Amino acid sequence: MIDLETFSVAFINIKNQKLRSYLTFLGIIIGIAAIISLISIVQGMQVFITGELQSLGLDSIFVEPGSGTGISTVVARTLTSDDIETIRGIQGVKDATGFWETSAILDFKGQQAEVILVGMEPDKMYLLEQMGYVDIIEGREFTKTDKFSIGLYEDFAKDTFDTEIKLRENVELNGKKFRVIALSKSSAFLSAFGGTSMVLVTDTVVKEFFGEEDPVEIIVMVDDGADIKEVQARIDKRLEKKHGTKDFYTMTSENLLEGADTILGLVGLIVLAIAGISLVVGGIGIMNTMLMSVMERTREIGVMKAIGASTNTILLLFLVESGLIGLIGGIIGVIIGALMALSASAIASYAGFPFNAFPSVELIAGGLFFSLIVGMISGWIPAQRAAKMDPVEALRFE
Amino acid sequence: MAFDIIINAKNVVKTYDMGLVQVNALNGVDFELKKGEFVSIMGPSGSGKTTLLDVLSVLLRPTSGEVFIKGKPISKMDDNELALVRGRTIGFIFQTFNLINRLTAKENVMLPLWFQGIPKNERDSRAEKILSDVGLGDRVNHKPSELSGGQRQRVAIARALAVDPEIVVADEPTGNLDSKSGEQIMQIIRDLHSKQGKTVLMVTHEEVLAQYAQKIIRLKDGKIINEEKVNKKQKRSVY
Ligand SMILES: Nc1ncnc2c1ncn2[C@@H]1O[C@H](COP(=O)(O)OP(=O)(O)OP(=O)(O)O)[C@@H](O)[C@H]1O
Ligand SMILES: [Mg+2]
Repeated sequence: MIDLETFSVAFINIKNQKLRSYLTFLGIIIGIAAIISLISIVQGMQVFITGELQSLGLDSIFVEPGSGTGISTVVARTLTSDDIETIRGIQGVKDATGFWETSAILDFKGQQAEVILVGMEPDKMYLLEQMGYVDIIEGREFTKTDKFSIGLYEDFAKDTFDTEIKLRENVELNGKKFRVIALSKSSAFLSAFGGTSMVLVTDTVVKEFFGEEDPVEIIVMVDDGADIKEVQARIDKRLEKKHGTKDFYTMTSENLLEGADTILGLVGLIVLAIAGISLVVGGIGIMNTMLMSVMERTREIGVMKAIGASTNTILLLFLVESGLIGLIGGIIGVIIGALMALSASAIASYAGFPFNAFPSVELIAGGLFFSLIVGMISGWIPAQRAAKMDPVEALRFE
Repeated sequence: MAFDIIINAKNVVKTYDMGLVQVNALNGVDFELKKGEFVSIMGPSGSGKTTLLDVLSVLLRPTSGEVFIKGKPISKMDDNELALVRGRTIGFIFQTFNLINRLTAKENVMLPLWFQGIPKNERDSRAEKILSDVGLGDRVNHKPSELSGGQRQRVAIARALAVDPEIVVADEPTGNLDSKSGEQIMQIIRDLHSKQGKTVLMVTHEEVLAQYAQKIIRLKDGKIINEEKVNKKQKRSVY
């Protein structure tokens, strides 16, 4: 009994409802568009962040000051330069280095900007390059003999002042003259966190001119073939013993990934809740339309029953019709949702955060299936009412 | 077929409970419809003609008593089985045509065939043939709103005949028509009986139309008060 004809009849019926059905579609369209756009954005970001974190290397461990629970407003300075040496001595550690950080005023041709000075050990710069923090496009790497040398991110050099800062030009940091020896490509990942206002100098500069003796973060590279979890545990143990208390925490790329997943998962849940509500509203809209339509077509239902339509046929007819309303709303919703996701990713790319938000085939199929189901569930009560109608009463209906 | 009597009603009562009062639309009716018969039902308004027709065509279950279709009691059949009986053996013609307005004449005629699961191309050709049989070969793609009353009723007749039913049931089929188109419709119904051998059950208010039948049943207050054979001489004098 269910064949192509069922759909075309249902389609004619929907077309006949005109404006009312268009309004009926709205709830489903909004719900599905919300689901499609937000899930594809979240998924796109997930893929992007995973990729970025993986480029940091799956063999690196980050040692951070503080407890690791919650965000401490004042960054504790519990790590020392000496800790780096200690870590280098731990079994399974290939190399380690640290960041010394402070803020400074950068002066270029009479204009000022506040920057974050990041000091690093010049002979360990290769670690930063490996992890994608730095990618020199002009100039050279830092060496041990560098002192009044500075490295800038491309975006910062181009956009901060009226004139672009070029390689080999001089800038002043808190009144001292520095020479630009390197320009690095802006890392999308860093720029998303405001990282391009970071300025690279040697650790000696931060220590000697700014008095920041202790690193804010230590990065550890693990030996090839070593178990990163085991090395992480060893570092934890050794440093805790050395400090006498656990005033630091360690993280692997994997830990970061898990953290990002948790946050994105939470966002996804909120999104689903919102979309769920709009779909319920949409479903009620479909139900309302179908109830009205069943009432208006009472006589017609009576006629169909008289000329041989069974209860099941009528039930099916109305279920297909409401399912089709859901599906059509779903198709429009998917298209709008995909467009929304794509424009979001276009804007994000423009802001230096290029993730791909095109909805996956599974997501599209899921969205369409879901809209069909919502339509059919909403049509269940109206269809039952139509199917159970007494033919004689229905035929007498004016 | 082994059954000479296609529809048989035994002591049928149909009561409508209106709260304070109970309306007995049918009050103990016994009735037999033989294969190939043409029977008219007459009676004053409210006497129960439509109700009787509905009960006999298994559209309505009686409050008490039993209706047999080819010997089978309908109290033993569920609603889907009754739908099947209607869909296969009974063709309905209504006073108000009851066509589906957004479908074309052909689609209306195809509808009962669709309910019987008949494939599209066969539905198509059958609908076209029957429509041209009732003189509407050039109106197949017209919507009911584009047809005259008489033409609409002919579409309805075509729809009733689509499944080639044994019985045609008509409730005041000319009640909404002028006398000329009414006459055309009556001629078609008469031919259904005389040429195609259909069993016809027709409710009418008009004595002249009742004379088309072989037998006239008269109802009053939900009871059959008279049953008479129509003699041929009298019949010939009509129209
Ligand atoms: N659904 C209903 N609820 C209550 N009473 C009803 C219902 N249907 C019919 N009746 C009553 O049953 C009686 C018979 O009705 P029916 O329609 O069979 O009469 P009829 O002979 O066909 O009349 P008419 O010639 O006016 O069509 C009437 O008194 C009517 O009011
Ligand atoms: Mg009547």
